[in-house]
Amino acid sequence: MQGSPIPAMAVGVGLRAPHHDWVMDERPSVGFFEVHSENFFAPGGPGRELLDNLREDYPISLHGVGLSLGSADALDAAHLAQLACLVARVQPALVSEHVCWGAYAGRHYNDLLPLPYTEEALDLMVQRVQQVQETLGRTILVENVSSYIQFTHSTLHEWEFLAELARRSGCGLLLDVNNVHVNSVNHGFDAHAFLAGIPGSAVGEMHLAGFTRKHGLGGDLLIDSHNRRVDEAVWTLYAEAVRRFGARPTLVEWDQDLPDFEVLLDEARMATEHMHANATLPA
Amino acid sequence: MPMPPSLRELQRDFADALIEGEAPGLVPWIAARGIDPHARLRIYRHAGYAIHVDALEAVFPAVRALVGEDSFDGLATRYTARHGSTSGNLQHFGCEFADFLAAQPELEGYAWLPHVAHLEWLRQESLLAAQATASPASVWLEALQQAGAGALYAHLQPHVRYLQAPLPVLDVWQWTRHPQQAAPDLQGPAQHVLLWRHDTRVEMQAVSASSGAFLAAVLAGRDLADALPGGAGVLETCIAPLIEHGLLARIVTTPAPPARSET
Repeated sequence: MQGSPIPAMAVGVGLRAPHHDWVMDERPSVGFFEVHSENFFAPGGPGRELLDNLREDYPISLHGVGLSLGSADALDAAHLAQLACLVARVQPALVSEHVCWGAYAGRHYNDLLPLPYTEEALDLMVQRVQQVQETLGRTILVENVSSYIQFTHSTLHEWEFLAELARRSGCGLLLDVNNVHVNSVNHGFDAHAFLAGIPGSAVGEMHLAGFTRKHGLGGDLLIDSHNRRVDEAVWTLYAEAVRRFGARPTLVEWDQDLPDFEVLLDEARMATEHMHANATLPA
Repeated sequence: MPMPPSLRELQRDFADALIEGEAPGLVPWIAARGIDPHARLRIYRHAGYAIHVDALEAVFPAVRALVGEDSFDGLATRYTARHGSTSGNLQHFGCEFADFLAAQPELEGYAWLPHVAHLEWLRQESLLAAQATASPASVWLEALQQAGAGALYAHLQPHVRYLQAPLPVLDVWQWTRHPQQAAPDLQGPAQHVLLWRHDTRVEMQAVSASSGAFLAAVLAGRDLADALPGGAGVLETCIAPLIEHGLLARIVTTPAPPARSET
């Protein structure tokens, strides 16, 4: 139950509700569309119609934000069942979730909260990813999240945690390049060391987005705000990632203060240029 | 050196920080790097509230227009703190917002507000509900023949909702869309509102009291004879809006499950 694969050189755009009508009317040239899975769980309504229509012309990537893979609580069985139904219906090219937690004791915080990078958290994440993959009958990608907190009792670097998670669970990685840069500033690590620690064969997709700088806290802190163009530092890191891993389906995300869709298309064009300039093409 | 928290302990303390703003057990395990760990936690706390307030704003635009942005943000923040979300899908969030508004002492003089909120939540339910395939008329006729003197049940489209309010709730909702028009009389008569989805939009229509009673009974799973307030003589009046808008999925000899939230 898997749609046609997205070409490695494809650049997609995250589709949000304010752009639905424009996209349906104009059918822009986009490599693929990625949508938040939860917005399409409902049994009817405009979301279902949109997705049914969209998948006729574009590869689809389903990107979950609410499964809370890293929660100490058990996975929400109803949520996972709804995801399985959606995946079966849409047959997306990619399915992804996040390396984070978002619920405790039955209360959901609907946010991507940071995990400590410990063996305990790794064991849990491996088990959860395997549970999801078995339920869906396919491999998923998991995304590195931006964070504003680093736990002192972490025993692994973030990239070591991701690499080991991919190795032990068999999942792929959705490498959010903006999040690598944000975390490198927020937690003071070398972004190049992060990329060097990631197994390239596991990277199935990359994300690009904009961040904002938060002032007045006494130190540098970047917020993964998804409300502006991709920063130059992130383009540079993306170019390095493409040189290191090769071309991978790449997505432009923009969630707050949404501009006209043409701006997102322009960001996608820039991603394409960076990809072509840096990817090593097969002989 | 104390033992580091287990993952469950860490998430418990983090959750406390998100709700209460305090997590003394967690702070020692947060790397400062020049920024107070409390300030780092506050970023998540503020973001969490903003996510939920935004979700409520999307579902309750009329309530927001009626009370103003600042008041709405305050009410939505308190609702989030008290109720929280019970799902990883934010489309579920807000189902108790109308009841919450009704229980707020400072809103005592705004008794109409919870009814507007209730209407908006029904709009959300209708928007996301399934669309059933309607049975052809031949199937209805067959059911009528089979029923004989037995009970017959109308199954409505799953996106049909009904609200009875003791005031002109639909007029108030529509006024928030066109505030330049004359404001409705909040002391005006009760309104019975039929909601349904047409294509990708939720439609609403005020119906008569007898139609409203019929709708409520049908949605509660009562048989047609029992649901008709004045006997078969008013069938045409009561069923006309359902026929007109294609909201009758089938007529059969078995009851429909009671209408419930689909979100």
